[in-house]
Amino acid sequence: MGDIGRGITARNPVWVVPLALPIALFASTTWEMALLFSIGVSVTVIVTHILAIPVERWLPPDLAIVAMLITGGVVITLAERVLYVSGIVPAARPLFLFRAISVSGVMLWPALIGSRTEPVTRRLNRVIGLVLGFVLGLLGLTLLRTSLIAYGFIPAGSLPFGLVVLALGRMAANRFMEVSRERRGGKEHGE
Amino acid sequence: MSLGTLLLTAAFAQNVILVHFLGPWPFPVLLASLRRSVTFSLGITGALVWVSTVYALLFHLVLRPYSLEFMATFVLLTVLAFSYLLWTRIAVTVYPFSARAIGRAMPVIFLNTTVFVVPMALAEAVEPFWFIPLTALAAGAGLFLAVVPVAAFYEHLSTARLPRVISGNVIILLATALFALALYQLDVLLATAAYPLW
Repeated sequence: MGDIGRGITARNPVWVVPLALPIALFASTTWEMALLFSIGVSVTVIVTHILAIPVERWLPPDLAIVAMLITGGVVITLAERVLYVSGIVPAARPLFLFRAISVSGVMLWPALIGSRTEPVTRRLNRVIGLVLGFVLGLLGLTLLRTSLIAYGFIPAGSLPFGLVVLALGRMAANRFMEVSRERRGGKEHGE
Repeated sequence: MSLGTLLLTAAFAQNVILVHFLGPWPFPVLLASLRRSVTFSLGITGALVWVSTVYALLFHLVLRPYSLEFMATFVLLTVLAFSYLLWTRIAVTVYPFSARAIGRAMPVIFLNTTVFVVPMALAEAVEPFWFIPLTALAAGAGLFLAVVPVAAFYEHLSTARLPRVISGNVIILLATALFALALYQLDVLLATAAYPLW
């Protein structure tokens, strides 16, 4: 499985690796928020990595995170201006979260675990995989929660319910991985 | 709003983990042991107080007077980047034999959702200025009170013989949900004191 596939499945930042949980729990209660965050986070994360990679390689290794943060700051500020000019102004908390998650979750993670010698395409594939995993994971969670809210199950919008749903998702992922491991073991044993 | 109400709000009614889940990342690594959760919670609390104070100074002295609030993200990220560098160097100078551990811990302490959201909200919503570090400290205390019991719960259960399907993050998510539900009951009592900070 390639890096993009792993970002969507085995390292999904919503359902498997609890990387983008704050935003997933917050934005999955309405479709408007889910779409705003899906598009906004995807664009800012991918553009930031494309711009930060050459700067990171040019600076000394201990300044790599600084390059990523400052590049991210510029890109997110520009994204906010675009939202503002197009008449979309998120209220204070969504705006803070948009800034926060763009940087702390999906944006920094590939930079922190990546190495400076890693090929650019590999790093970008990991970033794209994470972004796709984030968008698909968020939309799946939104579908579940908004459907339950639409049927009158009000607690579906609460934080504890969101955490329980994610725990159930993780249990399903654990079970899936366990079964695949057993099948692989069985095949090797057969051979 | 009085200081007492503000501190109660920051620590309980608007608890960064159990009410809003502004989770520090990587949450499971943070909760791997009780000792680690205490160390990281204290580190994040220190980072919260430092970053909130420095950012609020810049917000009130530069951004607001010159109508540059739209640059808030850039300024906060610059503050975070240089705070991260400064404190990493200080820590490595004081503990030179723990340089690798410090290198792994500092991103968790400085680069997480709590440390991004809280300073932005405090700079815009809290006055007078000297309330800001105290409120950040209260938010850190709230984080401590959420993270340490969840870590204790996790540490206790991780030694039990549980099915593999509920191992790892599942226990953490369920434990956090239980504690969040418990705080929700307290939150109803504190509803009169609540003020939407973040």
